[in-house]
Formats: sequence, structure tokens, C-alpha cells
Amino acid sequence: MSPILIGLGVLVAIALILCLYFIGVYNKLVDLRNRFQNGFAQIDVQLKRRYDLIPNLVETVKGYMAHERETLEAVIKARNAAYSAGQTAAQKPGDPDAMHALGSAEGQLGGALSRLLAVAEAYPDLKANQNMSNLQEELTSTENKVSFARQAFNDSVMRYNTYREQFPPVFIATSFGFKEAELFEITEEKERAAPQVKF
Amino acid sequence: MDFFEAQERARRKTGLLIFYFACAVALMFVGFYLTLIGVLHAGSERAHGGRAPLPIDWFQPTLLLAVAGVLFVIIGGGSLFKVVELRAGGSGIAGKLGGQRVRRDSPDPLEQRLLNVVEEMAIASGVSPPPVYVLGDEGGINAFAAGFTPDDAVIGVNRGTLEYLTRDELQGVIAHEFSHILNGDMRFNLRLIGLLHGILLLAVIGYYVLRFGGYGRYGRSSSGRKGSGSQVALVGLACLVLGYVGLFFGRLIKAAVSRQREYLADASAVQFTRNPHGIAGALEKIGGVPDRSDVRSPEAETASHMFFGSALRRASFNPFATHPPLVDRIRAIDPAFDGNFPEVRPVSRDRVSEEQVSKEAAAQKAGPAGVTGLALGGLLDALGVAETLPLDPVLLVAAVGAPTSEHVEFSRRLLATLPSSVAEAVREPFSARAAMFALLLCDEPRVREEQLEILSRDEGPPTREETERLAPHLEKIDQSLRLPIIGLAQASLRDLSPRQYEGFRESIKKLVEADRRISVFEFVMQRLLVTHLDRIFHHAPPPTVLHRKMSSVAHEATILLSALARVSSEEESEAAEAFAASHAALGPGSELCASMLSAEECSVQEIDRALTDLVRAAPAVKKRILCAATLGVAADGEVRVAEAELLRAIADSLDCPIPPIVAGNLGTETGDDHRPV
Repeated sequence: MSPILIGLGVLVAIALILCLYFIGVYNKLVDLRNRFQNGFAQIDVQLKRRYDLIPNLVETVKGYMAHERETLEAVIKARNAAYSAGQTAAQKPGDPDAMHALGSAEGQLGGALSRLLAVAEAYPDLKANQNMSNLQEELTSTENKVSFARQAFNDSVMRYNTYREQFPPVFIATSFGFKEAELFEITEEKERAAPQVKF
Repeated sequence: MDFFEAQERARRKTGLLIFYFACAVALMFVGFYLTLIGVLHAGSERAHGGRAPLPIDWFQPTLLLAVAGVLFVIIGGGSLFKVVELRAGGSGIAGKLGGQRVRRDSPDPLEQRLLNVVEEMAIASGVSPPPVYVLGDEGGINAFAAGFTPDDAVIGVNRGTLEYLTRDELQGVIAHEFSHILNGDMRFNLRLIGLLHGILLLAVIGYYVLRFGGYGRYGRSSSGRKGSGSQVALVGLACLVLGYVGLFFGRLIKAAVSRQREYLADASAVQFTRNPHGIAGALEKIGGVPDRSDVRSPEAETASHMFFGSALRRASFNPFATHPPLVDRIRAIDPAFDGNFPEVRPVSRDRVSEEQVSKEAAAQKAGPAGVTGLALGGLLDALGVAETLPLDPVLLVAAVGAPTSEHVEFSRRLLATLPSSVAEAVREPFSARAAMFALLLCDEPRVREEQLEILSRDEGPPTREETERLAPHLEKIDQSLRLPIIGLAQASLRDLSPRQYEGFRESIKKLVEADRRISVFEFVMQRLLVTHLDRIFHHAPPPTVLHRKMSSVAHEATILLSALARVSSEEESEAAEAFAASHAALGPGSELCASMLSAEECSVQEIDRALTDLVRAAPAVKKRILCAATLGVAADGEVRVAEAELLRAIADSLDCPIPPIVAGNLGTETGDDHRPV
């Protein structure tokens, strides 16, 4: 009777299965992307908290170490730079440029902060200040949270990237603009972070 | 209508839906088959020359099979795809509708208020708070609950809802959504969407076949194959028509079921909050704002029946309407409603934040600041609700999945009395983890040191530090608050990455086993945390019903009751009494195992195994077990912390969330909850 109909039926079935598979892959990509974006939102919360703490810290320290203006200014500068890099990154989490910029800004800030804290060691009055120790504790705890949230973010970026690079998904990913996402790594500036000893 | 009936009903309804759906598919199949017979017949008559009419061959096995195959693939595939897609959970749906996750640190007092209301409702009904999304572009008053199970549920709220409603009205709306979550409506909703999608796909394919069939006809008319082109077009037309006929019936079913359920959820909202003005006020305001309850997102059509108010504006009497007319809904709650909608103005943010502060202050005053080391009776007095939360089995079972206004109020005060250090910690994944570890730390210095060693080795020194920092805060907390704290933490722990979760799970296990014995609390905690989080991280499907009769789970039920009895008293005779009292309530089918088991026979491992089995019991069986368990706990007029916690873990593992139970009662509290079972 109808080879046309049978042929048509088979074609429809194949097209349908392909279509389903395609939509499935697409949805999975969207899901994985949402996950890492959600992961970044968590980092963002903690980073903002840290940016809010730093001016308080500087304010507290100021009265004790008037001679260390340079160190204090470096901290404020690094904080402001990290803040704006953070805002850009929150707009497009996973974007290589934004992530690198934030990573190095955070590295600078970390370095500046640790120099400040190292200098602060030399002021016994400051060390005894209750406010100072509270702030320091809060900073440490926020940094721990940042690095934990960063780990979660990087895990989900890895999952997304791995799936994205697999054989059939890679076609769908490239043709629908699923770009490779970048991990969030903080670029440590070791040589400068170490307290310098001068004779 | 209690929780168990609602569950049973949701299942029955799913069955009925599948029946209707099967009918629709069968009809479509017959229609499609007949169309093809007709088309082929016309074709062969034309080929024959059209002199003498050919007899119609009604039975053509190949054609029959082909039609069945094609329909099966299209409808089945379409449904399957949608169900698989929706299985991704509530967050996916919220994202599609344009929702933004609301976070704890949001500077907007309206969003803070929303989170507080959701948390209160969640603690009151005994589930962990679902993630909350705001549809920022939607100015109408509306809300939805989505997800496959209560574990992956999310709540979404239109921006307009936040801006126009008072706290009481918002609470009414959230209670309405919780009723959908707790009654298993969401899963039903998703299946409905899936099936309708399958039928819709047939219509869509028909549309395309019709179009391409049409091109084929014009393109090939010169080659003399006109006949087959129009045949294909006819087949396409049949697909289109039958698809839409199927969809028509599908939508009728969907709308009819959905309208009934909205009335029910409205009624439940009144029950949860005991404040008809809340939900009625919210409904009246829908009528008063310019955007009504509109949802503009293009996905609104698919999700229309999940919303609080009608997402699409339709004529007031419409068989496809997913929601009953607004005036009817209001009158069902408040018969005196005159039909005039009020003029609505947005609530002021400043007032909301002031209100928040003053409410918190009031709650803090009601409970002495920090509730540090209060005796249990003291906590009850402080919360001022002792007499309203009796442990009556009938009341408790009635409150499964349907907390009363007392439970909601109680939870609100409970949350307000949490010291801020703990409250902040459990709302953030890193510290929530540490808080859970801290709850498991042993008092004995040697074991504690070992546990801390495990933490620094497996989770890193920062986690250990955080755990040590939180431990003193948690030790001061009243023991009745521990389970609500675990509930809150569970919500934050969903944000772990899968790798982090596996590590967490492993560490919890190691900490529990560090002292080489498992206390009731340790068991309860592990069970509460792991049961629900595993479902999220391991994508385990929700359990299906396997045991319909009490007789097939009598042994498992006896294990639970024996364990509860043994926890309730060290005296063999008292325990036996409690067991006898509770076992009698199991009812027919349980006679086979009527004696209390020895301590070894109801060890933690046995309870664990029994619970894993019992989760697959039918709702009616679960109800009897839970009723019996509550009787056993209440039998001696004293509720120990361990009893209350074990009962909670049992109920939770059976997927019957119960409101917080407060231990103590007659003031003879021992607080000895680290006793091995």
C-alpha cells in the first residue's frame, strides 16, 4: 500500500528523536550554566561583605598607625579596584576577562591586607583593641566563606565545561553561544605579600 | 480533608488523568486511522479509474501498526521529553518564568519579609524552607509553587505581590502555595503539563506536515504526483485537527481539576493562618490593581495552573479557566464580600522594615534575649504557647502537612529567639556545614579531639575553626530548637556543589561514628539531613507506593514502636506499657508482631532499614503508623527530647512532615538524649 506513509512515519520518528535529543542537550547546558551562575552569586554575597568590612578596618587602624598612610591607601585602592572588578564579574560570571580581572584584583587586595595586618602586629595597643580583633575574625571567616563558595563555583564551572566539550553537545554549545566558562582563581602576588625586611 | 487523604486523592487523580488521557489518545488513534483508510481508499479509487466503487478494506494490519507506532512515538516522546525537562526541578521552572533567587542579604525589606514568612511557614509545617524567587518584571499580584517533590520545590512571587500586600496577606498567599507543595499537587501538575505537551506536539507536527505537504504539491504538480502531495497534506490536516481536539479535552480536564484545587488551597491557607482576612485581602487586592494577577512571561501559559491567581486574563466564565472567578473565591472565604474591589496602594518599604524590627523586638522580649540555657519549660513559657501545642495524636496527625496558626506563630517566635550568630550561620552554606558538625561534637574531650581531627583532615582547618567557633553558641541553645536549625541549614546546604556534598555526607558519617555508638540524636540528624539532600544531589526518584496493607509492614512498624517505647523509658515494664498502648492503634493486620522487640532487634540499623521500607507504604498505612507512634510517645504523659526527635525523624522519613514538637510537658525532663538505643 504505502511505502510513502511508512517512510514518512520513520522519518518523523527519527526527526522527533533527534529533536528530543537536541532539546535535551540544550536544556542541560542551560541548567549547568544556571548552576555556575548561581554559584557566583554566592561568592558575590561574601565578596561584598568583605568590601564592606575593609573601610571599617581602615577606620579602626587609622588612629593607631598614622605613619603607615601608604599601606592604608594601598588597601583602600585595592579594595575599590576589587569592588568594581567584582561588579563587572557579577554581570557576566564565567567570562574569561572578567574572571581574570577579578582574580588579580582580589590577589592585590589580599596582598595589601596581609601587609596591613603584618604591620599592625607592631602596634600592641592596636592588637589589644577589641574592635580590631572582632574585625579581624570576621574578615578571616568571610575569606573562608569566599574560598568555600569559590570551590563550589569552580566545581560547577568544571562540570559545565566538561559537558560542553563532549562530542555531540559541543556542536549545540558552539552554535547557540554557550561559551567556555573560566574558573575563578585568585592570582597570589607572593613576592610582594611577604613582609619585607630592611636593614 | 487531611494530608493523607489529600495524598491519596492526588494519586487517584493522577490515575484518572492517565485514564482520560488514554481515552483521548485512543480516540485520536481511531480518528487518524480512519482518515488514512479514507485517504488511501480515495487514492486507489482514483488509480482504479473511479468506475465501480471499491469495497473499503477496514482492516490493514501494516497501516494499523504504522499509525500506532507513529502516534506512540510522537505523543509518548513529547510527554516524556516535557516530564524529563520538568524533572530538573522547581528552580528550572522559576528560571524560565524569569525569576531571580532572593538571598538573605538582600537590602530590600520587602524581600526580607518574604523570606521570613516562607521560613516561618516551612518550620511550622516541618519541611526545610524552599528557595524563593521573585519575578521582578511582573507587576501583578501572583505567586506559584513548582517542583517535582517537596524536596526540590521552589516558591516564586511576583514583584507586585511584595509591593501591594501586607504581611498578613502575604502570609495567606504563601500558605496557599505551601498547601500545593504539601498536598502533592505539584507533581500532578507536572505530569499534566507533560501529557498535554505530547498531544500538542502532534498538532504542531500536523501543522508542519500540512505546510510542507502544500509546498510539495505546488513543486511537483508538473511531475504528475499531485495525488500523493494532497494525501500528505490531508494526513497533516488530520494530525492538526486531531491534535487540537485532543488538546481541547486535555485542557478541559486540566482546568476542571485545577479550579477545584484552588478552592482547596484557599481553604487550607485559612486553616494554616486562621486568618481569613489575609488570603481574602490578597484576592481582593488582585481585583484592585491595574495588572490584576497577570504574568507576562511567554511561559505563563504552560505554568498557568500553578499560579495563585489566574496568570492569563480570560473572560469570567470560561471552561478553560484554570482558576475560579475571583469574586467566587473571595465569597468562598468571606461570604459578606460585596463585589467591590478596593483601591490598592503599594505598602511603604520604610514601614515594612520598621514593622520587622518591632516584631523582632517583641519576640525577643517574649523570650528572654538569647534563650541561653533555658530549661525546656522555660522555653515554653517564654514562647507563651505551651497550652496551644499539646501532643495529642489525633491533633498531631491532623497537623501533618497542615500546620495550624499556632504552629506558624510558634515557629515565628522560635526563629526570632535564635541567637543571631546561629541564625546567620545556618543561612550560609559554609557555616551551615560547620553548624551541623558542631551539633555532632561530643562532650567527652578525647572523642571531641578525634572529631575535630577528622574535620581538619577531611574538610580543612577553616571548617574546623568555624565549627569550634559555633560550638559554644549551639551548646547554649535549647534542645527543642535543634531540629528547626537543621531544617534551616538543610536549605542552605542545597547550594553545595555535588563534590562538596559528598564530602559533607562522609564527614557527618565519620563524626557520628567517632564514639563507636550512635545516639538517638545522631541518628535523627543524619536521617533528616541525608534523606532529603540525597534526593536532590543523587536525583533519586520519589518513592512509589509498594505496601498497601498493614500486614505487609507489620514487622517494620513494630521496630519503630519498640524503639520509641525503649527511648521513652529505661524501665522494661514502662516501655512495654508504652509499646502496648501504641501497638493497639496500628489496627488490623499488625497482630502478627504484637510483642515489643529487644533492644538489639530495634537497633539504629534496624530502624534505618524499617524506615527505608516504610516510605513506600500507602498513605493510609503511614497514617496509622504515625498515629500509633504519637500515642506511644504521649503514653506516659512525658515527652523526652529524644522521643520528640525520633518521632520527628520517623515522620520526616515517611514523607509526612509534622510541625515542631516541644519536649517536656510535665517538667520532668531529663535531657538525656545521648543514650544509645
